[in-house]
Amino acid sequence: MTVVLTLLLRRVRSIGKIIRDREGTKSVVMALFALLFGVVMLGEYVMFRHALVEVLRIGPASDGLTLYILESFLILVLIIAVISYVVTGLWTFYRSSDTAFLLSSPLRLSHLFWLRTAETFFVICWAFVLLAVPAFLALGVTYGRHAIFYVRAVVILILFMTLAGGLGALLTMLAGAAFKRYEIRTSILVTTLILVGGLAFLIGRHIVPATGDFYLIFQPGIPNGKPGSLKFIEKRFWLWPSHPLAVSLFTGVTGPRTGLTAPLVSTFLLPLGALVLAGVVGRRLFAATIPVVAERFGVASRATGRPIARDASFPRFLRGPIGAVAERDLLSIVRSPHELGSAAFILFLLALYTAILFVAPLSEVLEKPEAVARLFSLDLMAIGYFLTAFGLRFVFPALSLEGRGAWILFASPLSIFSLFLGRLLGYSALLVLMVGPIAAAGAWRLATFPALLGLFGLLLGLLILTTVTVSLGAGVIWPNFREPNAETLATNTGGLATIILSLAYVATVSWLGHRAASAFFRGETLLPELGGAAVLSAVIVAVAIAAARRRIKALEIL
Amino acid sequence: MAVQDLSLEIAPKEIYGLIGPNGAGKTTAVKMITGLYRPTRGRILIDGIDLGAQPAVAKRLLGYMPDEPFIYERMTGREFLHLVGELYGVQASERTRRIDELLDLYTLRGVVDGYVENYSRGNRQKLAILASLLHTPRLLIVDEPIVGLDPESAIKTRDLLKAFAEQGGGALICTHTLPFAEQVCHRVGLLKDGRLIGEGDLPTLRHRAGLPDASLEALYLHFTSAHVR
Repeated sequence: MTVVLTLLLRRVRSIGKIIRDREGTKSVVMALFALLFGVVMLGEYVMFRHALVEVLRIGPASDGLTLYILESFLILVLIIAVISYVVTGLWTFYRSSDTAFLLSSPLRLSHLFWLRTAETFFVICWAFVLLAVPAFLALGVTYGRHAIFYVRAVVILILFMTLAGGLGALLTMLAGAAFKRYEIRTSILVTTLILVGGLAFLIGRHIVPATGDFYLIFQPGIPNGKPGSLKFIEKRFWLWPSHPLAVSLFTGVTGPRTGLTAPLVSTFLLPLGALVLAGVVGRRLFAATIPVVAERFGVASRATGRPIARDASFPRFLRGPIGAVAERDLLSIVRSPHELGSAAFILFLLALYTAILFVAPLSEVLEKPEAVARLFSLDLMAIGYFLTAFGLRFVFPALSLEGRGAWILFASPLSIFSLFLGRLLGYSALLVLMVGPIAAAGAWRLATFPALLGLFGLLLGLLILTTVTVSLGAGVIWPNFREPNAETLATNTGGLATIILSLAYVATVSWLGHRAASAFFRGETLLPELGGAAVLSAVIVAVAIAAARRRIKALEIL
Repeated sequence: MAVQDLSLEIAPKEIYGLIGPNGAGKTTAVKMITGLYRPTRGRILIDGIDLGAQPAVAKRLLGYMPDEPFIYERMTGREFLHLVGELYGVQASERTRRIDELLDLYTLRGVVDGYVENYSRGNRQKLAILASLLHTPRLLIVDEPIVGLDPESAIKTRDLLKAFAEQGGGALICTHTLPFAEQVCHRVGLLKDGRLIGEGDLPTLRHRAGLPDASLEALYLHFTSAHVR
């Protein structure tokens, strides 16, 4: 195992080198990213704390609601972590650039398995820190727990991460073995679809609360001042592997409960079991699969070069040089399961959020105009967040990802500024088609007044156009043709600028949306707020386009 | 500064070889001529058209193959050729005909409908050469034309360049493969430390060096070792 540790240390050092090699602004960028990470965690902490305080105020039913929230939250984090693990892991385990070298070295396959397990785990473990730590902290503070609870919470977090890592590795190996004769992009796509589809079904069945669930939580002991029963919640969640951990965390804040011993024992047994299972079954599956995959995608496969589309012309759907590049952009997403999986994942989260809007018991809340105005604003903010995530992941890196192939476009007669404008229109249209219907459905759930829906449509249009322009502009102003990884590109100065500018803009438009919705309910005109949003968007779009144009004139390809 | 006071002219029907040690500024010069780098001063004229003033018109007359011909991995070779044709304004029917014609130059028919990511280095290079010829350029710029090619393909490339020049095109070749340059180039420029230290056809260079029977390799060593800063 010393070899595995040495190789892992080399990876860490190489990441450090990448950070060190960045020019002047690197430390500022890193500090700002840490600050942004901290702000997100703080925001999450405030949100959890606020929600838990409200739950505590309910009185007898608060225990039941707290457990319900914990169960749902841990399941969501587990699902996000496991899907991320499998999508990342299929590539890391089977297609890492150094696989051929390591396979030709005396490194044992079992050591290679543990190396890839650890590498994948480190790539996805941010989710636990970003999501779980603020939630656990808010839980302890709200219930006024002492230091011992936080020690317990850290142990639970480690066990939770072990559970997710073990399950992720096992599922990755199962998927790898099942699809070993297929191209890795097909494997990732099919596995992601199966996991997302299956888990969305389970989330719909088990996590999203129905109105009836609230009656079960709040009745029947509450009128007598007795705490509500937890049996219904336990019955609903006991099959989820995160259940023992949720119960353990719950008893950490509410004190021991009779009948909860078995889940507490499982708190340790399940994560260890997942790890052992991954180590025994997963390792063997890997040993049986990697030689097949390595041979299929190694040098031997080049001779065959299976035809994809014989004699097919190109572009098939769009016209002109910019249309051809746009079609190539789309093809590069469609033909890459990693890219497609990332896009599908963002859309899945957006659809999940919208589905929650539909199943959440909002009937009474939606009768209060101020509550509708607030939800309207929060909905805009949520959609803006998804747009920012999409912009950062797909639009911002568009130019940089030309990478070593940038010579093709830059040496051609194509105007790069025209390409910039074409991409601006293309990505905006794509987002209108992809996000528009889902966002419109969510808005319709909150308010059916035509004027409010019209306002939402206009603000959504402005959000799409502006976030796309900001992302695209930052990508042109801070290009990096040497980095082929879109996720890594998003961590440079331009990525940071995209996040800060887009989120600040989204927050401002959401605030204007709240003011406009309130004005609507008071029977006043919406024009000042709408005009404000339009002027703000126009200024940002104009400045971003002008800055990008100026940068393009001086752009050189290394 | 990678390149200083470089002035060179390539006539129609001429193949010009730019040679020099590593770091001499060959690739920088090529990248300036193709519009990938912007010169701090001076002009680049292609068929009388200023690259800086009218880049789109000037670039339409250029064909370029870089030393590392990276091509979009998730496209087929045929799709890539069509994309390049579209970028250079070649009509769909014309480029379909041209692609069909060009595929016969190298043995690429068997792989052209597979993803580029499965191509060997040599096949990528052949594809890039074909792409640079697709729109029938006036000036062809090729950085290291035969590195990575098998001997048969290297010979085909030599004949291809000669035929291109015979049909009226001009070509600029950057290479370290001096015997190849000696076979195909009408004139040669020796670049060192960003400056042109010698230029001319082989007889002229032999005369200047005082080596009547010298090969290009011997002349290269003579000029580069004599010109030590």
